[in-house]
Amino acid sequence: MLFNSAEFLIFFPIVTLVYFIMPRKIKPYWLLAASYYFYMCWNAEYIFLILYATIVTYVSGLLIEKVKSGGYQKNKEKNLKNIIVAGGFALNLIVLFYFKYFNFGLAILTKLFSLIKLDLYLYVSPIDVVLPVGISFFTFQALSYIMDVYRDEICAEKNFFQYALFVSFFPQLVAGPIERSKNLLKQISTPRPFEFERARDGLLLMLWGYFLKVVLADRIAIFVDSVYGDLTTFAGCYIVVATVLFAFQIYCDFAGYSVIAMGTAEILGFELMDNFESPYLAGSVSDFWRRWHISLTSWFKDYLYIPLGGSRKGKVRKYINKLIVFLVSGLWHGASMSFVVWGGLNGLYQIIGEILQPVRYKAGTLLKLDKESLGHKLIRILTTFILVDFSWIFFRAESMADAVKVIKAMFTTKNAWILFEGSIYYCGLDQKNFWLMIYGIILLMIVDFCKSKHIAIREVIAKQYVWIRWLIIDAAIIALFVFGIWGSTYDAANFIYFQF
Amino acid sequence: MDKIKKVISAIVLLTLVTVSLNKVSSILQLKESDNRYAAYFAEDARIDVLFLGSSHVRYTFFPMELWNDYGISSFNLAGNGNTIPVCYWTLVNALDYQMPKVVVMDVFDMWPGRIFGEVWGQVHETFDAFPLSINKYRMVKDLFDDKELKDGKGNYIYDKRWELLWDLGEYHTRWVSLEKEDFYGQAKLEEGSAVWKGAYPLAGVAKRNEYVYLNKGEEIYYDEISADYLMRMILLCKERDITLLLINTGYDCSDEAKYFADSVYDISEEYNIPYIDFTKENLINFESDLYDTSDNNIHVNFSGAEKLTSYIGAYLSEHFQLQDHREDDNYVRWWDDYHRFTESKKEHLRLQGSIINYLIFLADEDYQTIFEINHSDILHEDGNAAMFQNIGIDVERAFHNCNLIVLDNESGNAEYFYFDDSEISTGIGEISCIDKGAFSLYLDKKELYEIENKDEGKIRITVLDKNTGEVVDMHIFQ
Repeated sequence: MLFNSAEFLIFFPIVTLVYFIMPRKIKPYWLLAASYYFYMCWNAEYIFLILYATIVTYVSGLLIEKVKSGGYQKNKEKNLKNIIVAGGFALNLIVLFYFKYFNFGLAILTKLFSLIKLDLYLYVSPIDVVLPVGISFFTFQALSYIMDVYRDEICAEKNFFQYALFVSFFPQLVAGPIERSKNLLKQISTPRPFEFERARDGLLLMLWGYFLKVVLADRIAIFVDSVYGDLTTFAGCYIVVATVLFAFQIYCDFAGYSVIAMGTAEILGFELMDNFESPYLAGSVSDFWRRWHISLTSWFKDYLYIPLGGSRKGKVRKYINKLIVFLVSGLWHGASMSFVVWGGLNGLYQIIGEILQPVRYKAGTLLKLDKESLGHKLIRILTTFILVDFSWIFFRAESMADAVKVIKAMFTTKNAWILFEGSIYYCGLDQKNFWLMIYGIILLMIVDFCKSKHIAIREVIAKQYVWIRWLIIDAAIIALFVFGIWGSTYDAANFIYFQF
Repeated sequence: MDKIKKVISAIVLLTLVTVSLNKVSSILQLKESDNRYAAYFAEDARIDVLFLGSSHVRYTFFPMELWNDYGISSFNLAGNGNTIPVCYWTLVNALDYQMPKVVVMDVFDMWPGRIFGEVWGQVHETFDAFPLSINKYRMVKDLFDDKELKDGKGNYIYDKRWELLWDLGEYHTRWVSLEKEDFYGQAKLEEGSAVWKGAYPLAGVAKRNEYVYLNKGEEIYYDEISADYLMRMILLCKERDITLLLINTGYDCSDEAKYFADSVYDISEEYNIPYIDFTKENLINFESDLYDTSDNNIHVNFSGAEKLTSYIGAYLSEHFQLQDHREDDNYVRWWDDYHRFTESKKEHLRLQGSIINYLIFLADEDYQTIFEINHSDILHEDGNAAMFQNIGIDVERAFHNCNLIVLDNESGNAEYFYFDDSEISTGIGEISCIDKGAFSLYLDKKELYEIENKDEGKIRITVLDKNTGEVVDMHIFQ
């Protein structure tokens, strides 16, 4: 079930209404049933994967807890805990690997074996399975629970159903944010009563999320798909524009989902972590990654970068750790070499940035640059955007060959005039739709700027007279219905991040 | 108290959103359906006759002519591409608003075996104007609940079926192309659609050489879907005490459709339902009355439609106990509609750029016409002869020693003159002219028009309103 589907618009009010009507004790069970139904609407059989991840991590948590209170010697206790954590991780990752990486791994091995003239495909065949929606999200969320219990950050959850809801909570089940057990489990065990103000805030969040998804992301997608789908007709500046727009498409798509998830959860009385903090206002690539997909970046930091040694073991090791994290992050996003390159590129940007920092500092001092000046900040933001946007080419490409083709087509054709003589309006969006998209992106950047200055638009709206609030909500809903890309004129595109 | 305030606040917001969405939806909706049918739902007086069918019916039967000639109150609810299943549900929904005495149903089955025609938009054109109702919901469930159902381009219908009930999904992207008409209120749409009452005239002529059915191959089958829905329609009419008149307008059609049309005789006999197969009646002129002759899609033009409307009017009047409402106080507004109808016909006439299309709209009993011929070869150019003959002019006679023809369009009586600027007496009055610098033509001393040069154009046609004598139009064709 998609957030931008008619089914969800029926499903969610019913779930909410029943949730607040029913007795407090059984609220989590209702949400669990709703969450499982939500997932099963897509593929009923794959619910067993969630159940499997839930059981494995739930049992792992209990075992760790048992070991902790078992009176073992410290070393033995640590060893036992390590074994349980390793077992829990292995049992989960093996499923993730099977569905997501088996064919990719097999392809790499086949290439390697072909060097010694051995055709691996004669012995092992690629598997033909549909990638379960959101498998990377719920697997990582469940794994973080084991680590949190292991690190004594929380106690193991005894109530299986409440834990099952933590793994499958429908607002963030298929595309995050990847919640932490210490945040969400507590909220599940202590359901909040209905609060009008919170519901209103949640609704506003949802509306903003829908705006990002159906008005912006899906509209931009039409342009980007048209250009990337026909590189012979649309080369040069067309690709430059499409690539810039893709940066906003993926942001609006993913942030849209996250914001709808947050709004949905907020209406139900839950607080989810914010996944994006004005990422395209970042002044460096490192800064970008502190603002982009925060729940995943912090997951990797807490559960991979720090265990690898983080920055504690010298600069070279730090760089290697960083590169490992971003290569794994690339792989997390997709089983393809282009994702690995995308991750690697982002890792390299940061390593090079750090290596060059003293040089940049010296150059800045020599040139007497004012780092606080608007111009300086803008140049940093623009440079970061260009670097990140370039890497998105690999993210979007089906393969490395495709990415190379795009880059080649971008630089080999010179046709800057298309920006001025109207040809740009023949890439799937007519003039009115094109400019609606541009105005939408400007609005997004204004909102992001306000956010970066800690101005919460929702609070500003909440302070207005009631009739102004009504009009704003009314206008927002009408705008979504009129300007959104939905209905029979368009096949509702899946959220990009469902595939992860 | 605070809680009550919040609940009220939520209700007000919900109402505001609902009202706004409804308003926006009506602005964005394509007005095609309302332009045709809106008046049907606003009609207070009883509509005695309903026409159902595809475009062949829509472009053929003009309710306002039936009104003027027989005082029959009728409405044409036919729609382009409508299949028999779609017609059945049109009737079911239509009966929520009116209880006709007679339903004229075309059994010409253009789309044998199909639930709807090839174009999904045509289903919208038929049903958009129908207000949301239980029967509209039932229609969607019955016709479009099949996941495998596709339109002519192979697109699946299932996911967009509910947009028939809430069409914002279909039309919300129209914000880029909104026009003045989109902001007209419902009252204006109702007023507009009351003029033609669902029907519409076609301008254009296609000559068909042979009167044959197209041979689509050996596989002829009895179309069970159409037969099933026709049976449902028969039962529905029986249940509601409505007389059903079956017709077949398929002047040219596939073997399948012909087979079905012929099989209707059995149904007609079994259920004692009158059935007129127009293809077997000699009613139209095949050289002047057909709009198109493309594969399996022959419509009549305005001229043909006037003839068939006249025929069905006489038939309805003769065979059914239909009340003449012309003097009925409840139908006063129908005379306003009729007046606007005649004005609309005149507008159609004025808008025609080619002489052939002009002559199509001259096939109207409301006019008297004066033809001034400067070059008689125009009578034979590009199939014009058939069109002149269609309105009653003997082309051969007009070709020789004649430069002025006066035609009474109703009777088809034409008078032929050689007009040498002297005054002549005709069936419609004294015709004279003044040719001093400018040329003026007069009828009974009243100036009809003035032009710079009396030799201008190959033919000048002056059309007069038969009832008022006013000049409807003067057109010069080169």
